[in-house]
Amino acid sequence: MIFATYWFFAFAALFLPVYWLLRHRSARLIWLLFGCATFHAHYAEPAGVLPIIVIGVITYFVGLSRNRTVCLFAIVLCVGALCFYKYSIFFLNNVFGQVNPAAAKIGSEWAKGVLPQAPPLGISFFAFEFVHYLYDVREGTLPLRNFLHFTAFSIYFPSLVAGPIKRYEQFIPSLKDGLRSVNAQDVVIGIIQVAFGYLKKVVADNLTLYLDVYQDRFADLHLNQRWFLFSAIAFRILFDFSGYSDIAIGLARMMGVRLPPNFNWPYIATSIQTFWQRWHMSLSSWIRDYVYIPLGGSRHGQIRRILNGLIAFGLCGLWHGAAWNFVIWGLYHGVGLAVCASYRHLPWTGRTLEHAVSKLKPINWIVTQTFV
Amino acid sequence: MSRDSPIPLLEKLASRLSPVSVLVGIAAGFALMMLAGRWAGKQNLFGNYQRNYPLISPEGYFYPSLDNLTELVSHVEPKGKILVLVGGNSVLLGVGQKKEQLWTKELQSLLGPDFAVVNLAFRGAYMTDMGALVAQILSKKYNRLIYVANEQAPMQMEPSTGSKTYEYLRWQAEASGKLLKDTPGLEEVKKPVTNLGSEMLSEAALRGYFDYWSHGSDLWNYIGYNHLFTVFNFLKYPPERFFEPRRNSEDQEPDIPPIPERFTFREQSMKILRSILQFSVEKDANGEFRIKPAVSDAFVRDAKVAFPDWFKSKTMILLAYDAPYFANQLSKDEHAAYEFAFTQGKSWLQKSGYHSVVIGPDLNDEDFADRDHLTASGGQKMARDVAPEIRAMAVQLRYLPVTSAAGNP
Repeated sequence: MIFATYWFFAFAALFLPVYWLLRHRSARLIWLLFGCATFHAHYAEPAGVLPIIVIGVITYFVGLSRNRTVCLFAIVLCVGALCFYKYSIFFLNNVFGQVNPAAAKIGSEWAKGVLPQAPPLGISFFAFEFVHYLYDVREGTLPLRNFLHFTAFSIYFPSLVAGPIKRYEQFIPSLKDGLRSVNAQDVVIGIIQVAFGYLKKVVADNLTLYLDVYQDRFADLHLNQRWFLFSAIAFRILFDFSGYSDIAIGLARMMGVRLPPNFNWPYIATSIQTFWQRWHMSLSSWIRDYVYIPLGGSRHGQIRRILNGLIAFGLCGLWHGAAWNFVIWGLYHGVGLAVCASYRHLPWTGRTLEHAVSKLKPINWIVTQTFV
Repeated sequence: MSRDSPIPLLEKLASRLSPVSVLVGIAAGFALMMLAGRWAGKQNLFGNYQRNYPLISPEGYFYPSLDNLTELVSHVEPKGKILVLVGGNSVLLGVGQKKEQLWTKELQSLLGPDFAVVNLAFRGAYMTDMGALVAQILSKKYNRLIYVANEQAPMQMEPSTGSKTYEYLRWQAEASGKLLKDTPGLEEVKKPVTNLGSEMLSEAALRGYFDYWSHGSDLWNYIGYNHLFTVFNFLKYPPERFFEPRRNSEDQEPDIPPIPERFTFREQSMKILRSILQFSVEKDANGEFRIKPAVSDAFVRDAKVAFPDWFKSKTMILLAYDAPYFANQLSKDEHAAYEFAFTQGKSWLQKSGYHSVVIGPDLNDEDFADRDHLTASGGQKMARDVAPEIRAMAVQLRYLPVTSAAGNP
């Protein structure tokens, strides 16, 4: 975890006080960009920085053109870059390989030779934010003319590695506020949130060590230990990711910038729908706005709605990892959401079921949490 | 975090705090932590210390700091005896021996009251790790010091010094500025030995400097040892009680199984032993054994740059045989090559300025707990082999008068 490295502590200890001490907006912006570039170059290394620079520059100039067709091409380029770096081996072996195994093998060997050992740092988040930018510009929102602001949006270090996924319409005004003046209250809130984030990481890391020991001994565990193990898995994921998000959001807040929230007590959700409104919120809202709604959302009847939901969640699963089990996990949630959204429309029993469900909150909670 | 939005509760909490007071509080808290850490670092953490066992070692997520180790030695031996610091790896740590039968206890008893023996060996440590750093730093305080470590015979090519696990302490020692400076050799030759490289901004380096200056690890170790440990660890039994202070833990060595069950992975071990021999020893045109150049170069280079010359004369390097169970399965020629590697290694070490002792020719299978580690009987034999050599070194270094050279006190 990058935020738990000594390099990052040293970086933050040098960067933040200077940011606070600088009074002039432009000087603060230059210092911020210098810090972001240093952070990105240190952790991503040149091989990881170069593709982002190329895609970012293209996105910036295409955005300025406000040409719908060119924007569409740039969106395809961003998605293509994401697929190339993250999914090419998966697609070649598991999809194309089913059709033409020999050609897939050749392609796979070629890809292994061309691809870096690991995808560029934060490539998913870059791709998502650039797609959001281009899509919104294509839909008529004004593009960012100031290249420095665009750069800050692109490589803003707190959210660079694992989000939250930002929207430039909200981020840029907040960034300007932060550049103008940093409120001491913001710094305090940021520090507290960062501290909470690190605390969650400590718990998550201990749960990871616990799981490393007991996961392989599952068959030997008593029933209550097995339930504890399941809970440990659930809380490890939550604390790990939400801890990271808290640190990112807190760091931004220490600079007077507000990032969107990412987690909101997801394990108290009493339906799958509310779970996804509370879990990795910036991703689920991105998928809603840039996959589900463009596919037609719920505008073309129940069948299309379910189908769009399944496609959106299938892609959501694939985003979590390049393997079939992630796709199946996404589809599983898509089916859950479809059932959740549709059961009340069933003939005869729908109303009764809806009434019963509304009265049985604890049962709903148990069913939802068992499902997720 | 509230149910409706993650932020409002935090906002409410923060709005009740004065920002200035919080920032001052954080700064004051950090300063207090440093002061508390400085105080904690001056305490002798390990009361009745015998050796490092897993729960007070990095394998148990417990990382003894430079202050912890130097203070430990200072508390064990504050009175000006001849300090015998034992470094090296698990063989010298005494894995295979219960703490009551530890070879360094026997060594202490054989050397007598003029000497104070402290076992600072760690599992998997090299001769330049942990104990070596403490010895270098304490060499100014203790004029009469002898450092004992072990080393592989010249049968490998990888650098045998500077392990990653213990790199953190090397950087703390670097930060202290107390390491011996006059190590000979070019910087690029030293890199693989000291693991320093050019990575002053590496995680290990930053950690070492941060820990040394902030005393963070001193404080954390003090709390973890005396009050509350915070990292889950399956070495602790039962693991669910990982939070218990480490001072409640025991130095427990498992019982040694009888010989038929003792030497495991027999086929693999023999394969490894034979491939190591083939890789490192060959015969020259006259049919004489010699160490292959790549292996000898690495061994001689490591020996040359590991310590300054004046410190080499205070250092004894032990070269320990494998259990005869394995060595005896070698062919006559292979066995001769095996013994040659040890003889050659000892000779090179002595030429480099070290004292060196080969441990093993008089050991039998009962003396080994497994392929490498010694049982209580093996440890006692090792102590008996080493004690007179240390005594001779002490005379040679003028720590003792010449009349003390022979026999026990």
